[in-house]
Amino acid sequence: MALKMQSPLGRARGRGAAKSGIAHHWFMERLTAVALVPLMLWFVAAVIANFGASHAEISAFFGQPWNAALMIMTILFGLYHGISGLMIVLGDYIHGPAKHLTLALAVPALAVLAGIYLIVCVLILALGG
Amino acid sequence: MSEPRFSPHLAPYDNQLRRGRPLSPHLQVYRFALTMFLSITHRVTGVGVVLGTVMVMVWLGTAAAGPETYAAAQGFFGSWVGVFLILAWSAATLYHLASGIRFLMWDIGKGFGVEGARRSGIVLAVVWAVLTAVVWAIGFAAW
Repeated sequence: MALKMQSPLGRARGRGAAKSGIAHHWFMERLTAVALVPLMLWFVAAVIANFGASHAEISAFFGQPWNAALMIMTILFGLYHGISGLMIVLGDYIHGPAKHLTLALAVPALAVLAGIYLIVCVLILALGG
Repeated sequence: MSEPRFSPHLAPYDNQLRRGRPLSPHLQVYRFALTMFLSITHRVTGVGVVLGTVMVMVWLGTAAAGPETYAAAQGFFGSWVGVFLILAWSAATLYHLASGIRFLMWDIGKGFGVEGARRSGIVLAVVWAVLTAVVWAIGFAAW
């Protein structure tokens, strides 16, 4: 039969009709996790440092190029990691293909929108809006 | 395997149990274990941190909008509700961060097994409590 015509390695490489496995998702979730360890430590520190800051102070903070760069990096990696996690949570708890598909499309779309909004805000502050 | 003891929670699954079939994870009949609590907390805090993005959007969005809008948002963040949300967000973030390092440790094959998971779980609980206490203390001192 067709199955025996293929070597086990060949089958594993092709991964059937899906053509891809979960390795990319798994790897990217870990990659962003490792990056987020220093980034979130920085971000929590930044939130504390700017707690109750005036508008001039917050503008000055993001006017520092490194702060703006780290904030944008935290937004990108954080939301990517957040989508990765939420997709697994959706897969575990949302039953019914229609409901699942709706949320599986809405979650990344909202995250991308939120990410672009946040980056634009950081740039406005950084460039002195 | 020993016969499962009768529990009213298990009544709907009586047929499954009598046939010796495994039962899906069922929250009410699990005996509490620190490891399972830490595991579900990792997921809950993960979702919480993502929801916290809304707060970050309010923070940076109002700052980008200008001093008046920003001052209104600062009024909210300085209120009891705002302070509570920031405390909850920071506690959840620090938990997910510390717990995430534990998961990464498992990913490279370290600390597997019941005893290893139990021990790293205790370390996680202590590290999280200390980290959160330090961050909150610094935050309140600076406030």
